Amino acid sequence: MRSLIAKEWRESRALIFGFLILAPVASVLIKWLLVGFKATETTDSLVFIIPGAFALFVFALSADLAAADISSGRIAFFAALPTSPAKVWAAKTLFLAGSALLYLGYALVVETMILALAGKATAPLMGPEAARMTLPLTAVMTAGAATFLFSTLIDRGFAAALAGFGMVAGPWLVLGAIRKNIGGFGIDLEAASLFACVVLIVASLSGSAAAFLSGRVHLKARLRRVLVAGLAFLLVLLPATVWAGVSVRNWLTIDAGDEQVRLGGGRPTPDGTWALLSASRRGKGPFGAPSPQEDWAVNLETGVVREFGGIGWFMGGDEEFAEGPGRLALFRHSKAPDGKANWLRVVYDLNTGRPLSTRSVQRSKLYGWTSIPWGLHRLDITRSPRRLLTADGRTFDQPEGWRFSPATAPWGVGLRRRKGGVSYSFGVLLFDTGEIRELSHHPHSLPDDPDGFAVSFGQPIRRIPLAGGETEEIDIGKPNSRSLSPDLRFAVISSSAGLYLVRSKDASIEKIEDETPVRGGPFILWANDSRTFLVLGHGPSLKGTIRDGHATVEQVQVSPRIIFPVHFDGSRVLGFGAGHGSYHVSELDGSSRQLLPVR
Amino acid sequence: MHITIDPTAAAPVSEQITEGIRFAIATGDAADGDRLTSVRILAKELLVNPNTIGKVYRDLEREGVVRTKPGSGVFVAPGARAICRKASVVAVRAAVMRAVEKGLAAGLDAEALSRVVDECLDTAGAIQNVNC
Amino acid sequence: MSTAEPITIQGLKKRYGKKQVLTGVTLSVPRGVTTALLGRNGAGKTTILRILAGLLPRNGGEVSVAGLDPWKQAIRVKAITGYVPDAPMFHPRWRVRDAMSLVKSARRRSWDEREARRLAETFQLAGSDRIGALSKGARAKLSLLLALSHHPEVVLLDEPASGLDPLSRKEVLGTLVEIMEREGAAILISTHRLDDVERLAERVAFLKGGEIVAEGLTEELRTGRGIPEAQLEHPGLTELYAALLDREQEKREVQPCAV
Repeated sequence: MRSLIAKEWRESRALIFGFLILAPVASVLIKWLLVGFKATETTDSLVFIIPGAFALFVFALSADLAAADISSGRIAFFAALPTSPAKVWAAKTLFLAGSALLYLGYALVVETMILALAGKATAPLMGPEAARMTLPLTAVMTAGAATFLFSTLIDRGFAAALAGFGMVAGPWLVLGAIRKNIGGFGIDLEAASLFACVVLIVASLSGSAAAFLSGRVHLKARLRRVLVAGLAFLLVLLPATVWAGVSVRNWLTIDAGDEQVRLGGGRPTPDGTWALLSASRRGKGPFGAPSPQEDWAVNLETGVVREFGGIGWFMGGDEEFAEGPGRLALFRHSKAPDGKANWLRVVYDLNTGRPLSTRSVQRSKLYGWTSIPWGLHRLDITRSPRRLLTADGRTFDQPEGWRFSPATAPWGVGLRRRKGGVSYSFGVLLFDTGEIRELSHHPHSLPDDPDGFAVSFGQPIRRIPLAGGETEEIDIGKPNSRSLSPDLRFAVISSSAGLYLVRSKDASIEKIEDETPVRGGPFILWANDSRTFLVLGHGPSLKGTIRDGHATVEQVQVSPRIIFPVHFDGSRVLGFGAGHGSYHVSELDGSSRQLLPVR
Repeated sequence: MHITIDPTAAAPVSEQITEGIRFAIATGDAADGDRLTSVRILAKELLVNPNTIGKVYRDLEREGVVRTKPGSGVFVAPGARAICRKASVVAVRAAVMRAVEKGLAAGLDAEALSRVVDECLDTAGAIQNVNC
Repeated sequence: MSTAEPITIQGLKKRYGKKQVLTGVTLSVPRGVTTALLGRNGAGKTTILRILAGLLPRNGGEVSVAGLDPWKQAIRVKAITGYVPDAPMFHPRWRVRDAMSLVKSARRRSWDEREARRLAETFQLAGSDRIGALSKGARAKLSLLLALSHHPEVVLLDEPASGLDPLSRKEVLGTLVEIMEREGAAILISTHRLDDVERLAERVAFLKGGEIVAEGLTEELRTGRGIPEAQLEHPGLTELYAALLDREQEKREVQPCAV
């Protein structure tokens, strides 16, 4: 093997020495004549000079690597020796790879020296910024491998270099065009490009190896060579492409049988038979594919799952159930051919899963869904600054420097702003006057009266007079979990001292129980009626009912232990069961039924 | 020994070499007991397949012209000269016969032919004396 | 040395595209025998040699070199074969020693460095000579050196002395005669020089129409003895031989005196 590599070196020596001299000379000339030493930026070296020099070298070396030997028939010299063609191929490949990498290192060092002599910063070349070169350099290596492949097939060096260049430039241009039109689905194009480059490199190397091994390069019959190489190339390319496509597709599709799905945002239909959930995946998928989102309706009685949505679908807030029981209205956002946004309203029959009607709607009619529920009001997040849409139809833009907080009352909304670092300051915005009152602590619950007391949950609990004055501290032990009712009128807090009920309207706090079901902090779920709640324990749990502003609890049994609760409808709990790896609907008597994933 | 071979002549190379050796022995170039060139060297010098030389030597040994002493080489056998001369006479006779027939066909009479033979003898003898 | 017959060919067929070059060649070369393969240009002599050397696949028939299939067991066959092509290909930038070291490392154990040096001296090839600067004769001799230095069991020569100056030709033939005497290899020489056939080959085979039309001892074939009548009736056999006979005659004179 050593003498084979030495042979390649002997034959390419002049070329390599030429490039060793060319790199610094060209770099200096470019800086001196074209850009000017003063105007030279280190980033130019990163983006143009080094990849450019590397590219020229790789093309020049790989173009003739196989072509010269094959076209001249010299390859027959080796064919007559007891040397396997695999060795000849391996020697050429190793020589190409080794020389390319050494040259790259050389170009980096030389460029660093030139920049240093010119008095420019050299740090970016070594530091994390150098990672910008990764994709261009990988693309060059891909072109080099492709050129080597073509060098084996075409046995004309220059044509091989052109073909290799084309194999990389072509897809790159196509990709640019796709990106303009489709936007890439949010996939990380850089990661995808790197993957494609690696696949192409492996495919090209397989193709050239196949040509040597079974394509009989020492004979003039080119057809066989091309077929064998093409087959090997495709055997690498196709499975890799399919795998990539399938992985992305698998990531982007979620179905009810998927165990890795994350469920959240459960809310019931008015008749309580279905729970609407949003289903998504955690994190980012292959090539940075965004996490998909779907909306599911799960029938709590039968366990049937209806999947809706995907990219472009939206639940419609208030409009969802406007069609009556067993019906769901969804909204779909699409682009019409004239480029204008097109909104569709589709009504589904939940029992059959089939769409019943579709019609176009104007954007103004969809007022409801461009905003998200925000306590008692709605928040339009499509605008900047964000805009609050009050329950009584008024609109308020987010005051400058402030952000709306989830605490809402009919008369106003909570605010918070960053004071620097991790400290915040708080306040409330009064709708009637537009006045902003600054507060010392975060108002988690607001009273009925703007001059009443807000309650700030923490340790200790604070009652803050909104009209100004001293803040009252109430010690209820160390709080470990809390939950506000959907209508924001009550809050249940669990602490080391027990279970407490907070009434927003007058900021009153009363103890419900001396013992909390879970010392570390139980999950607290509210039913939609805002009068029934469930404090989840590891088995024994508490179901609470609020009457006349006071809460009473009774012991219930929830099994399996829920580690991720989704929805409580007053009599049943939908959640992810510990140790079961799936979602269950549990009755309060200890029985349960597995719903998802659907097996 | 002068050995001349003509690969394209009528007689195969082995026969030519055999003839050449017989002639050398017949004329006294190689005397009884003289060691002949080894197969290897002769093959190299004549540029002939050594197996051919080997065959020649085997044939000559069968005729009793040479004798192989293992380890020492190939030697001219005693009495070889007589055998070679006899073989030469046969070969010469055939050649002369062809010349005579040619002459007669050309219209020369016996006397003219005889004169031609005498002249040739004189000329050849002179040449013979000059050579080795 | 393996025990199998060095070269055995049975009904060999080879096709280049539509052209059927070999229609059914049957030929054997036993150990220690030198056989000449005679035929017109384009008859397929080079093809047969390349198939034996493991460079070409065949389209039919059986070929065995020392009991091995030269295409399927190519590496093993090439290890014991020395092939001298009609037009050796070297990179002009190589030096003699580069070519030698390449072949040496490819042949590793069987390469005889001393023999290689001896041949280099005989052929007057210096390690530092640029191959590009060598004459045709010198390149042919280098090819021969590279093919013989590992003491092959089977030697395949494609027109070894064609186009060489007389001195080079003498050196080439002399080296061939040496290895014949020493090695006991099976040697197959493709040539159309009749005089070389007469000198070097004990057996000769005629290739015509893609098959061997006559094969036998050189002596007998040339005198017509021992050839079956059927073979003699092959059209063109005598014309071929006659045409070959018409080529330049050569006389060789040596002055060895009795030692």
